[in-house]
Amino acid sequence: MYHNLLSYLALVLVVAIPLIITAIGGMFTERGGVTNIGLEGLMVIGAFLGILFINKVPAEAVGGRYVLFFLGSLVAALGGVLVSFFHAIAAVKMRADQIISATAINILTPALALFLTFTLNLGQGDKLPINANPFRISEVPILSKIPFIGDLFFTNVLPSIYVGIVILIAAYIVLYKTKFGLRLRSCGENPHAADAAGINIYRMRMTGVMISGALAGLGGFYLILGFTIEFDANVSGYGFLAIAVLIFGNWKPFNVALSALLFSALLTLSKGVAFFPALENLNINSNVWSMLPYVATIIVLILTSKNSLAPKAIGQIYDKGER
Amino acid sequence: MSKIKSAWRKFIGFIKKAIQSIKLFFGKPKVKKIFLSIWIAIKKTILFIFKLLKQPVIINSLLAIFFGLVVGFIVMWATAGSFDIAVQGLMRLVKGGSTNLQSFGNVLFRSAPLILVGLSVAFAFKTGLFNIGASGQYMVGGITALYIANLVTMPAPYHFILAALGAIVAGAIWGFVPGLLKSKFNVNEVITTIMMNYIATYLTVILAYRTAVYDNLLTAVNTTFPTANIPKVGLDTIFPNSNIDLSIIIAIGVAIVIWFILKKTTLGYQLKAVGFSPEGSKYAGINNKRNVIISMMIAGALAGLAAAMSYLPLKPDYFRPVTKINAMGFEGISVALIAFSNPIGIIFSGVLISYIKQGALTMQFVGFNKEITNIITSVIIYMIAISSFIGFYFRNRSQKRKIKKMLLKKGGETDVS
Repeated sequence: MYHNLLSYLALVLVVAIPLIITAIGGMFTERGGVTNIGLEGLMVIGAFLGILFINKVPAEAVGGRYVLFFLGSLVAALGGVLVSFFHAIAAVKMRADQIISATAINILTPALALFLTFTLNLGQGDKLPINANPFRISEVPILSKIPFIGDLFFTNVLPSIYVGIVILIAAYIVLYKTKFGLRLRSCGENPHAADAAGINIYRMRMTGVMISGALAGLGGFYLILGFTIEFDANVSGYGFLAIAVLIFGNWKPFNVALSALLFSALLTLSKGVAFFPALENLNINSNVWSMLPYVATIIVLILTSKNSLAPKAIGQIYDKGER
Repeated sequence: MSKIKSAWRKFIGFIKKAIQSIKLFFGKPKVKKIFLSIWIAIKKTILFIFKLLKQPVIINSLLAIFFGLVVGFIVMWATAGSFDIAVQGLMRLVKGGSTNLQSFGNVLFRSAPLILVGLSVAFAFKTGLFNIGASGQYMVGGITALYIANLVTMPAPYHFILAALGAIVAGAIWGFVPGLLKSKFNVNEVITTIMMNYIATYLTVILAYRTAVYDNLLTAVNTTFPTANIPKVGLDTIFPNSNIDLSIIIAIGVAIVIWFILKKTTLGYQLKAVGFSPEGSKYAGINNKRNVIISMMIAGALAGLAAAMSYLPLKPDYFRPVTKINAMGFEGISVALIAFSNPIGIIFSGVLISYIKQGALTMQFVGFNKEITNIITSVIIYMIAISSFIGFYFRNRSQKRKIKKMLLKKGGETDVS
């Protein structure tokens, strides 16, 4: 039973970490007042570039596999920033409909990834092979001896788990304890007041969107690395799920992390059922289990809709000349 | 010599006579009238086309499409590393859909569901709702149509009509849920429709695997149901050997109906008012909540009908039980956006997307992946998103120039005096 529970929780973490990272990215853009349903597309481009990088660059050339891992993460994040720049400039500077320009990103990046993989022969057909095993940390010396936590967090894990935790804490500090965070939040709540206080709304919002690009790229890379063995320019809707996680987490870092864990527990249920004989004996179609998180999301959204703390100026185009 | 001269004279005489007779013919008042009216009609249509093309919306669409093709070409050039191959690829893309009547017939055939899904997205857009859920509504509609087609026995035209109606109802139900949640609980429809997409995906997988409808050899839902197929109504004599059928006519008809609803009815006016300003329309006594639900239901119904158009033809799409969201809904977003959500424009943008897709299929022979279509559409959508700003920018600039000129003129005058 203990081992079953452990392997289920490990699976939950594999999904939860990328969701946390991406949802926190979403938090930065939405707290600044710009919606970004392009997270899905940004995850795809991050995963594509990151995996391409770790496939093509030999570990010896950069000095070790963990260095390669972090360089890959960097490439994934930069890819996300680059693509999200287009959304940022359209949605913030050019007063475009934020949903439309993000949709363009969602259509562009999977197509671009597939097209490049196929035309330039980067993988097999239009798929990139993935081998995450070299990057797994088999055991962290002393820490892995801690009873439960040691098995879950410090044995046979990808380094992404630590990156995720660092990002979560950093996000909290940046958003609540720095000048930048305060300014960003004010842009999402009342941009006109923020403007009057001398804050450059355009620059703040663009930064917010680009942070979300970086984090979504990173999230996509980690998701694909931990979850599959073949990348076909598809992150199976986790970008959209991250938005749901964000809403459920009420746009607050630690709530977002908790809701991501809850979501992941539900998301992995269809695979996790195998670990629990009691549930497996119910003999329910695995697709019903797969459906569950989405039904739960809708129910949760209904229940939380009354006390939603959404940024007030979210989705609104800021125009200096208005009023 | 004299022979040639006489022949020449004869020839000149003939020409003169011919000219005279033509003059006589056109001199007759009746003929004159007819030709004048034809000439005026031609002139009018040309002027109308020019007027239409001068509309900023259409100019923006055309420019965006042009930019999309340019970017697509650059991507091809960069990846192929050779200008010639890229040109070849582009030519195939542009010509592929119209090499003969058969392929153009197929373009029209494939465009019918695209037009309907586009209408679904556009209709919700007009009420200020973003329907990403067209995919889910499409899948649910598709499986309903297939169940009716496979399990019900009925004479020919009625069976098809029933299956299509079933698809419409299923799609409408799938649209009703997000509409209800939006109006009752103020839950963002973007999220709920995405969730409904996933629920639809897994639900249809379960339903498609049922032995009553599943075909093991096809690895898809059974497609032989002769009485429920979409009638061809003789369109395949115009486009020989193509798969074209009634669906394109249905799609165009529905587009016109939607245009009529939005433009000429109270319901359409109310829906647009809600989209334009929820608060304002509420003040004007329009029932916001009811309209949101109605709009989402109609959007869902349209997506459901689209599914019937793709799964019921003689040469249908196969309904495979895969746990992946159908891409059709996202293509519908492209179709709607390219036409700026104008129902009549959607007919053209649907055909355009279908045309590019057909061309992209032939591009694979030169070594390009068919995904180039999505690269191009995404650029088109992006350009459309920022087009109003660019238009605004240019208008502003030209106005500034005018003012500058005026100021300069005034300045000159004051100098003289």
